[in-house]
Amino acid sequence: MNDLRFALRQLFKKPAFTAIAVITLALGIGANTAIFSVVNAVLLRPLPYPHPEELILLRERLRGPSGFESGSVSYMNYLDWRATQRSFTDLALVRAEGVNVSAVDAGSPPEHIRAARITANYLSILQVTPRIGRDFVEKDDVPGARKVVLISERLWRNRFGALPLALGQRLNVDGVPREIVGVVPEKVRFPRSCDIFVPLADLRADHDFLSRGNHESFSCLGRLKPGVMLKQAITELDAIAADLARRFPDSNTGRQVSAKPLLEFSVGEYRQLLYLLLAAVGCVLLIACANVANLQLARGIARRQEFAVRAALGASRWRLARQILLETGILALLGGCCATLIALWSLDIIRTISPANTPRFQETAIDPGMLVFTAGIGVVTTFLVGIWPALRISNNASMTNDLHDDSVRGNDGAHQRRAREIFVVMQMALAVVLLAGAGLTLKSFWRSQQVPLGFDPRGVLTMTIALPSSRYDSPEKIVRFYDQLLEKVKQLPGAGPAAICNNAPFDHEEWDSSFHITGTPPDPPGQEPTSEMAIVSPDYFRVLGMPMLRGRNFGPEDVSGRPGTIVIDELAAQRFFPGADPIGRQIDDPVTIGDNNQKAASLTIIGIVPHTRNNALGDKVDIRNLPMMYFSASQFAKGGQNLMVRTQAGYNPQALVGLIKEQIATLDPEQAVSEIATMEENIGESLASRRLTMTLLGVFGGLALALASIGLYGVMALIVSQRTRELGIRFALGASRGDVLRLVLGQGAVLVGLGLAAGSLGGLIASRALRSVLYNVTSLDSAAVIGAMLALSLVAFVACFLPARRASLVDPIEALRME
Amino acid sequence: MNSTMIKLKNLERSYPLGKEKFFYVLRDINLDVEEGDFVSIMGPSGAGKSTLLHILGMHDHGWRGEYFLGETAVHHLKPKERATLRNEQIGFVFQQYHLLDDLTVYENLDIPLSYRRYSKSERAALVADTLDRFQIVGKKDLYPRQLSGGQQQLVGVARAIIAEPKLLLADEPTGNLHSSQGEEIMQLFRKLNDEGMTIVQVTHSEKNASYGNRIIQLRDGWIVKGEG
Repeated sequence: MNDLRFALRQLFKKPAFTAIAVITLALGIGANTAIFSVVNAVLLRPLPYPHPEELILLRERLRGPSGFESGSVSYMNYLDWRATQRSFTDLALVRAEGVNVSAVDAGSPPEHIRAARITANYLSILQVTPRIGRDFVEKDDVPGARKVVLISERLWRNRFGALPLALGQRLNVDGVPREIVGVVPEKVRFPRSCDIFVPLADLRADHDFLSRGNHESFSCLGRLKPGVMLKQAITELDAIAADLARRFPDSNTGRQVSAKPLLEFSVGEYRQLLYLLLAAVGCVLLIACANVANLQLARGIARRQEFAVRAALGASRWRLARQILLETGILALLGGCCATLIALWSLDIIRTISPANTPRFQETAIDPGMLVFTAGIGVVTTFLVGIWPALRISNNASMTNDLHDDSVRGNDGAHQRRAREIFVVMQMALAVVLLAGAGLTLKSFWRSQQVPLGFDPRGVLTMTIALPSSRYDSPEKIVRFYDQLLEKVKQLPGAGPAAICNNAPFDHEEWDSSFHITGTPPDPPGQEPTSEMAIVSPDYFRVLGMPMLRGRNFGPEDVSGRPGTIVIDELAAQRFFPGADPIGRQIDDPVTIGDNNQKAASLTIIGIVPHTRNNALGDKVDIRNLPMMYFSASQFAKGGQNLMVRTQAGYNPQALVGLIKEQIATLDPEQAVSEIATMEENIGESLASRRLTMTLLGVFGGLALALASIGLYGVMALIVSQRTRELGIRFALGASRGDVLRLVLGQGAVLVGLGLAAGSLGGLIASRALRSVLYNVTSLDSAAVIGAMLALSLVAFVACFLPARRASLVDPIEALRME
Repeated sequence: MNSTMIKLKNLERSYPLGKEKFFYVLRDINLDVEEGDFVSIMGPSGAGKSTLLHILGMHDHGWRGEYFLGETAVHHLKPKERATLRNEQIGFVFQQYHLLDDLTVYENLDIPLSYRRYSKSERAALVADTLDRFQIVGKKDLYPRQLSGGQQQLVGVARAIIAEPKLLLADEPTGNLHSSQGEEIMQLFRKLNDEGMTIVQVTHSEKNASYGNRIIQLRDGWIVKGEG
C-alpha cells in the first residue's frame, strides 16, 4: 500500500512527465487498437457461417484484349457447372437488385429496398436456417410457383416488430404480392444490405435469361466438399469451361471460371490497403514506445541516486522492481483508459470516412484482445526501460558512485546515452517514413481529383428508379412513364435539363458488351470489340454539360420503330475507327438491349461526345478503360434508370428531391426512388477509399511528427541540463552565447541528420508498398520524401532550439556553484 | 571485555586504469574496531576515507582482503547475504542526508523498516518512538525540502538507527551543516555511543573527531596512524 501511495505521489509530482507518458501511450495504443480492429473486422474475422473457408464465389473471366477477371455468370453456364462439377456440395446463383416494396393493403408508400435474387439452395449452401419460418424449397423456385419471399431480420424488426405474425403476411415486391415464409438471420450479409430474398422462379422461363451469352449480374456460390482443395476445384471448373467453349463457341470462347473464397471476394481488394495502414500505425506505436522509453531513461538518471539510497537502506531488487512496476502499472492504466477513448473515437471517425458500401467496414468494433496486447507492449517497454537503472544499481559491484552523484551533475552511462540517441534517431526515421507516405497519398488524392471527368458534375441531382416488370411489361409503358416524368421534372422550379441513364457515371451499375462493326469480318470469339453501354434520353448530354463534338444528338426521329441510332464517345471513335469518321458507320450487337427482349439491328452512329470517367480511379472497370456507347431510351426502353437533373445556378439540388418524388407519385403512387445523391456526392463516395488512406496516413504522419519532436525535445533538454556545469565553465572561459547555441544545436543536428538519412532511405523503400494505392504518382517520388524531411527538420529545429536557447542563457556563476 | 565489532585484514581496493594497471584507493588496511568504540577516520581529500566507510557499510563489494563483522566473515558472503547482514547490523548516515524528497519525515523513517521484516504495527511503534526520541514529532508530516539542513541530518541519523543497528557509520555527517547544527549532531552521536552503539565516522574536523575515543589517519590509501 505504501509503495502504491508513493507511486501515485511520484507520478503526480511530475505532471509533465506523467501527462506526456500517458498521452504518448494512449495515442500509440489507441491508434493501433483502432486500426487493428478494422483489419480484424474486415479481413481476419471469419464469415459467420459454418466452415466459412469452404464457401467459394465463382465468376466468369475472359481472356483477351477486352478481357476481364470477374464477370457475371450466365444462367445456362451455371446450370452446366452445377450438373457437371464434383468438387462442391452444390452451387447457387445470387445477385443483388433493387425492388419496390410496400404492404399489400393500400395506402402505404412504396420503399425501394435492396433485394437478393437467389436460387432455392442458397441458404442451405451457407448452412444457415431461417430465424423463424422456413427456407425456400425447390418448388418455390420454378416458373409459375407460388409467390413467396424471405425477409431480413432487420426488416422483420422494423416492419413487424420481430413478431412471429410476420409469417404468412404478404408484401408487394415490385407490384407482385408475395407471402413471407421465413426470416433470414442478420448474419447473412452477402449480398450486403439485402432485406428481401426472392427466388429466381419465373426468371428461369425468361427467354432473355435463357440465352447463354446473356450475363445478368449473377454470381455463383458454392461450398467445397470436405477434403477438396480450391486448386482441385479450379482445375475441374477450367475443364468444364473448356468443354463449354468447345460446345458453344459463340458465347463461351475464352471464358473461364474465376474462383475465390467468399471472404476474399468481398474484401480482398482492401487487404493491401489495410495491412499498409497497420504497418503505418505500428510505426506510430514504435515511436510512442521509444518516446516513453526515453522519458523513463531520463527519469531513471534523475532517480538513480534515489534507487541507490533505497538499496543502501535495505531495498532488495524485488522491492525496487515492485515500485517501478506499480508506477508503470498506473501509467498503463491511465494510458489504457485514454487509449480506449481514443480507439472509440478513432473508430467512429474511420467508419464515417470509410467507403459507405464497403462490406464489414461499418461492422468494426473495438477488439479488446488487441487493446490488451498493444497496451502490454507499451507497459513492457515502459517497465523494462524504467527498471534498468534500478537493476543496474543492485547489480553493480559498488553503489558508491550512485550515492554520491546528484541529479544536478546527473551523469549517465554511455550505454544509456547511446540508447536515448538511438531511440531519437529511430523516431526521426520513422516519422520521415510516415510523413513521406502521407505526402505521397495526398499527392495521389489531389491528382486523382484533377483527372478530367469529361463532364460537369456540379449541381446534378441523381436518383434511381426501378420500374417493376410486373406493371411495366412493354417498352411503350416504360417510355411513356419516363417521357412524362422528364416533362414534369423540367417544369419544376429550380430544375434545368433532366434525363435518364441506366449506366450513369459513378453509379453502382456496370454494363459492357461486345459488338461487331458492320461491314467488317466477323471477330474471333472472345476477341470482339467491347464497350461500356448506356441507355439515355436526349437531354442526358446537356445535363452533364457534354458538348456534341461531331454529328448530332438523339432527337424526335430516334424513337421505337425507326432505324436504330447510337452516339459514341471519342475514345470509341479513336479505338474502333482510327483515322476515319465514324458518323454514319454502323455497329450490330447480338445481345439484347433494354427490357422485354428488345434486339438491336444495325445501329447507325450519329454523334460523338467526349469520353467520360465513369468509375473510381483504380476501380476494376476504370482500369479496363472501356469506351462508351449510348443508345436512345426512346428506342430501347429499360425499367431501371437513373434520373438526373441539373439544377439552375444557385439552387440546392436537394431541394428538388421532395418535388420530384411528388411528380413520380402522380404518375405511379407505388413507385419508390432510392440512392438519392448529387453527382458530386457520388464522385466523393468513389474517392472514399483514397480519402481514407490519405486521411489516416496524414494523421499517423502528424502523430509521428509530434511524438518524435517531443522525444527530441526531451533528449535535448536532458543534454542541456547534464551539461549545465560544462556550459558554465565554457562561459567562464570566454564562450559567447552564440558559441553555446551552436554547440547544443550541433548536437541536436547530428541526431536529426542521422534520423533524416535513415528515414529518407526507409521512406523510399516503404513507398514501394504504396504503389497499389497511388494514382499517377510514382512510389519513388522524391518530392514527397524531401517534403517530409523538410517538415521534420523544421519541427526538429524548434525542438532543439528551445533547450539550446535555455543553454545559452545559463548563468555561469550559478552553473559553477553547482559544483 | 568488549568483543571486536570490525576486523579488517589486508584489505585493499583498486580500480583498473588499463591493461594490467590499477589505481589503489586503499592498500593493506588492517583495522580492529571494538564494540562501543567511537572511531573517527581522518585524512586529506582522496585518502580513501569514504571508500573505507562504504566498504564497512557493504555498499562497495569490489575490494580484496578479509573483513569480519563480529564473527561473520563478510569476505565469504555473497552480495545478497551481505545486504541482509547490513540490514541487520549497520546504519548509515550520509553527508548529503539523502532523505527521499517525495516522502515525509514519517515515511523516511518508515522506509528502512519496510525493507525489513517488521509488521505494520511494529513499524508504527518504532517510528513513533524514534520521532519522540529525536523530538521531531511535530515534523513528521513535513517533506525534507521543508526542513533545515540540521533538521534533515537529524532525520537522517534517526533513520540510520531506527532499526537498532549495532554499528553506525557516518560519512562527514556535519559536512553540510553550520557549526551549531554540527555540534548538535555530534552530541547526539556521543549520546548514542554512551548508550552502547559502535560508531565509525569520517570527518575532516578535529573538533568532531574529539567526540570519539579513537582516530585513524589515512593517507594515500594507507593507515598511517591508529591502526588496530
